[in-house]
Amino acid sequence: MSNKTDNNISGSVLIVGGGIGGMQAALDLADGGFKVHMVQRDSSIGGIMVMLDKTFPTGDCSMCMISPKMVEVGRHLNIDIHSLSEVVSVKGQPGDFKVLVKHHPRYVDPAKCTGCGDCEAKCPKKIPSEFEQQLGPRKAIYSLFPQAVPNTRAIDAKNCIYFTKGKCKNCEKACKANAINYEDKGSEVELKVGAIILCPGLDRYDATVRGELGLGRWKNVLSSIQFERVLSASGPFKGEIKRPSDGRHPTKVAWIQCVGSRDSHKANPWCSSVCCMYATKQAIIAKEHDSHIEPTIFFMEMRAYGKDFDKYVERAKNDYNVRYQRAMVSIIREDPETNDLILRYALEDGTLVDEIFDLVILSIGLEPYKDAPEFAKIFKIEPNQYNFAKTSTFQPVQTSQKGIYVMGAYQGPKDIPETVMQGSAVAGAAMSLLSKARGTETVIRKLPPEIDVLNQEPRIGVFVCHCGINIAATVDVEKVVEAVKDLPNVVYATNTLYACSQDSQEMLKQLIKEHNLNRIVVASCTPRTHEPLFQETIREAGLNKYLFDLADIREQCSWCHMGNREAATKKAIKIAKMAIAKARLLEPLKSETVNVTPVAMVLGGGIAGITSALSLADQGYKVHLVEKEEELGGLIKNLYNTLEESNVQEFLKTKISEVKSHPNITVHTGVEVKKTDGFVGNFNTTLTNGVSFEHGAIILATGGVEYLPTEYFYQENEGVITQRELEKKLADGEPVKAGDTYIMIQCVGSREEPFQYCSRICCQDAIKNAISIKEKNPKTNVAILYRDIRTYGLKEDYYKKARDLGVLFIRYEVDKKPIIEPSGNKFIIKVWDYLLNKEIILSADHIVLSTGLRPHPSTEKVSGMYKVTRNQDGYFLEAHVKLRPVDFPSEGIFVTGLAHAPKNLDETISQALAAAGRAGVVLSHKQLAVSGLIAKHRKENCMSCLTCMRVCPFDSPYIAEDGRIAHNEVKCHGCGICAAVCPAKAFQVNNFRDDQILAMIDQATECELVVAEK
Amino acid sequence: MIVGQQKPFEEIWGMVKDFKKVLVYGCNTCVAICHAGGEKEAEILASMIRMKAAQEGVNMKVGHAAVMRHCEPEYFEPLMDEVRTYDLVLSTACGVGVNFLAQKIGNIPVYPGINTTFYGAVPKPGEFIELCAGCGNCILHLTGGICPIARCTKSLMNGPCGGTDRGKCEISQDVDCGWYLIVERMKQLGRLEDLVEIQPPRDWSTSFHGGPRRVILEHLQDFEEKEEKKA
Amino acid sequence: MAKAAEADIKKEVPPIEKPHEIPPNWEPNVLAIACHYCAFAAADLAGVMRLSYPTNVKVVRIPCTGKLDYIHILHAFERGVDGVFVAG
Repeated sequence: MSNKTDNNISGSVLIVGGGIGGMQAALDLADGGFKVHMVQRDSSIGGIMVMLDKTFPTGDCSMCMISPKMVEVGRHLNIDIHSLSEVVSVKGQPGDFKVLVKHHPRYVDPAKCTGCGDCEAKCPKKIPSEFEQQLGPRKAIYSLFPQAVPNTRAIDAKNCIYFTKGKCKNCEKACKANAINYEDKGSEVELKVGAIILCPGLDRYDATVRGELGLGRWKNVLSSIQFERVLSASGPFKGEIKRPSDGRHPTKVAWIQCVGSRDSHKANPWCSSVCCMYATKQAIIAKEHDSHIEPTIFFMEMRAYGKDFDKYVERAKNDYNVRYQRAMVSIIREDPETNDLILRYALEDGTLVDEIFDLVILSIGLEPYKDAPEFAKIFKIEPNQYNFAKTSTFQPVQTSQKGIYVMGAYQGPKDIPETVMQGSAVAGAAMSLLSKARGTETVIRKLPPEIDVLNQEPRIGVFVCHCGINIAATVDVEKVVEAVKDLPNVVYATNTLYACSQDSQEMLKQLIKEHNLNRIVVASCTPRTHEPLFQETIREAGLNKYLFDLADIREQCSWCHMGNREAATKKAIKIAKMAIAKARLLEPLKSETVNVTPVAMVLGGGIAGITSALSLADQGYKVHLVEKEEELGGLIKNLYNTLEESNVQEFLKTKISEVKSHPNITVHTGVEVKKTDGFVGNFNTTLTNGVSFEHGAIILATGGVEYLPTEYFYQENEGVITQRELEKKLADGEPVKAGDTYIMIQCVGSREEPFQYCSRICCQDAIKNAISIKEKNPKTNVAILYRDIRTYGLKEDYYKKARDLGVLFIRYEVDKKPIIEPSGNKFIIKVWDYLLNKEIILSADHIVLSTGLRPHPSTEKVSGMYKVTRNQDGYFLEAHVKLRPVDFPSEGIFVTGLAHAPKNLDETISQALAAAGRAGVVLSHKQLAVSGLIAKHRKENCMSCLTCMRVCPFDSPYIAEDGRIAHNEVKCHGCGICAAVCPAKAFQVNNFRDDQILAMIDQATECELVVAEK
Repeated sequence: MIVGQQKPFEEIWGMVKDFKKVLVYGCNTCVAICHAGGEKEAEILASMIRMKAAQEGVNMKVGHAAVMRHCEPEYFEPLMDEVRTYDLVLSTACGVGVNFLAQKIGNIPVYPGINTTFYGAVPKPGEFIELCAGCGNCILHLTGGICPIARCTKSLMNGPCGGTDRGKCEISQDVDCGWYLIVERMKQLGRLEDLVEIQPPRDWSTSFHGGPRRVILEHLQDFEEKEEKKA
Repeated sequence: MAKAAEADIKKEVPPIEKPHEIPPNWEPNVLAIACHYCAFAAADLAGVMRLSYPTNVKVVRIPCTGKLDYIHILHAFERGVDGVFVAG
């Protein structure tokens, strides 16, 4: 496709960084009609997330989540990965950048390398693995980790024996694909792109600087990232928790928080945002691995500010007996005989304690890459004082250069879902900027028409792969060919050195034509990575791509039965036969398509809805913005300033006028949704005023409300106000009298059953107002009574600023809440002071309550209307808390803002851009293709018992107009739960039909059967 | 809908163990919806019987089949010839189906594979609740749509007994007091005073107490007879 | 079956294993039914890590363990399998 646009805007985007955020942006952009160049400095994409064992709060396996995404990025027709590469220079302007990229030499030809790993096995040089955090070895020719994408090996010339000593070349000898090239000099390439996205990721604080904590000195002190590898089942200890010194299973394990964070003397002043939760996670997982472990977390403040985080910490305390000790450890010494560690810390009352632990983990903080200042110079963007990219509350993903966006930890410390959110947000921003060039530089694969095989007798071709020696060293490949070649319907069987290599693919196509093959079985590696490749190949030969099955005889046979040639060969034959039995029953599957109405509806006209609507409208789609109040603006109508910005109302005014004047946006105020119908690409909405319209995507931005306190004499005594009311008074210029005392009480209506969650904004609100009071009149007294001050990330600066201004912080516990007694115009406050260990009595003129947030009361109704679920607290529940933070399980519906969870203004704007990015991807398609692997409903067998409809997680069975069950295949994900529960067997999952599964089971049990008598 | 529950397997085995060729015969309507006796359950039961037979060393052939409804002959008649090649039909239809098939099949025994329990609703998947007893003389208009016959353990007609306990029935804390529900419902409808009227002793002859019941729709019977004459 | 004419009797039952003495050197034959997304991926990872386990396990991949039907398991046992391992 090449519709050259007049003003020379490029339809390509450069993404610098291949972590989870960069991957999300790449997939959104490439799926949304843009060509993506991803520049990654490592030899594989994946970033930090691939190193993690599990993720909080769900405990999902990190690699299992990210690996399919990496495969998707690696295989995407419109994503080019430039691994082992760096950007050298950038020229040009938004829409038209010229970027010089340097490809460092890899010494392995990606066109030839199949990723089999034979070279790695033969490489004699072992060096500590960066991926395993020095806890395990890697070779000089290596891939970062087993699931690396691309999986082309790379030679580390600094450590290679050939490069350093001039001889060896074992890898060259081992490589049957002739992919090793010692002469590789690297190359430079100039890319023309319209927008640039920066997500170079993060570095970690070097904890050896804090010598007193003993990292690198005491064997049993590990960094938190090292402990991730210890926990990982694929890590150096295979998931067994052992002490590095003696391999003994530790009992007492300590985590020390804030190592390298919140410390402006030897480390970084900011809060790293993620350590409280990852330490809690590690403690829980460690306990799950070994129930004898007694975890202790030494912390200053528990910053469990995210969605469902407090509940996770409560679970850690109550269900896993994790001990949270509020103390900073001053020194760690080692007992030289036992290698046990002696931790010295002070209790809150000042008592010094020495406690012995078996293993200590330092929760090290996050910081920008060491070369971040250089990096900023290359892209000519302005860094902030700490060398993170500078952004603003109102434009959280925009750098100081137009057309250059930033996301992830380079914008400030953050966790996975926020990074993923920003990934979609930058994608949305770039799609707005380059909307005119959409589809101008993407490639569409041209395919021949499909051969009709519907009523043909199966003619199966079987290809058994040696995978160099990966399979052949253990499995007798010829024997497998011999065993299957005469099976019924098998008309051709052969073996091949690398089934996945370019020449084998050509051979496969040739043989399909020559022998009229209409079903293909490849016996090689796992379908999880290689099935799409072979499917594409047979499709190029004119076969329907579903006429294919992959027999996994490498991962699930040769690799786990090494040295057991006879039994492994027998098993490989069986696996191949099972695949053939299934292949015999394969049928061509049609991928249906549905049209997409390129219009969005945004429900909720707060700042989230406004931002989403504007982004989508700028992307070129019509938007209906529906708000049930008469005025747009939502909750931030009451917000005057944030910690960083002072002109919120002005910002809101500008945004509202942009919305009202945008030609693509229709604003509907004072109305609600009366009726909704349809599915992704094809929704139909009728409003309460009778207006109805069609649209292809929905964004739910229904917002939240502030908790109206019933405690502390609120509404009884006018001296008791909320932070929001105080903010208004301060903004209205009400005088702050010298000598006045303000007492602020945190967590009013938060972090307590039944509202066991942090409202996230209140600590910042209190500090913001406290600073404002102090700046207006330093001769005031301000005290904040808090449980934990949660100024995460760069907001920590303001906590420090408030302390410097003389704001007092007094901690209370939930079971000893402050007691307030009105006394004339004043108040007497009694609060327990944990430092003095006694009750103190304060007197105040003003009591300010930091009230929490609640989901908007309409959330319940909206959740019923769109059949989307909510969490325990009533906030909408996203499709996946880590990797799909703005999606719902039902396609085409997205969530943003307070409707999802409490969050700040900048986070709301990020998420709103993300929802617009995700919705934009849907709307960019003229048609959506439905996967072939879905459940098929046979209406003639169905008695409409509704079981399927009630259990389907995607809502695809529904009651049709005839009153009977029908199936919306567009919504179906092919999980097959319907097929399992259907009492009439009216559902069958394509390619996993019962007859196919039973045929495989028959094969699997074939020769074992002993029949005594017939 | 009719709700049934599969009989304990040991009881089923006791019924079938002396037969050589057994057909597990499912019904794909009510009992399929309650996951007791549709084709799926018939297949599962057939498999379990085969394995039990193998374990016990009994030589037995077991097949399975299902038709849409066992209570209408047109559904199972096309299969009858083949069904008659079996020694035993283990029906997983409701009692109606077992009776009806037994009447039609000839010299082959038809045994029940499930216990037919009640007429029920399906509030959610996997839950079936009894709401009607089929007594033949409906008074739901007097009791706010809540049946005292089916939902009061004693089928009382004029309010609860002394066993009512904070909304629950004395037989179990899991069972709502039917009369408590009626009173609450009538309050909600603003018709509580209607309950003051005493209901006369009930005529149970419309229920099973008057012997097996039958309903005749003459206009449909006439129609069929005329069709037959035409033919 | 909805239409009466289409109904038929499934008597094509698999040959069933009869009880018998345990032969010498007997090894159990285990069938694993694995979810594509997790357990199958885990089996792959075991291979990637070169973890060794006996060869007498065969894996059948399904899209989700929610797809698993009782009859799959019963069928396997009728066919004489010694253990079924469902993982997902």
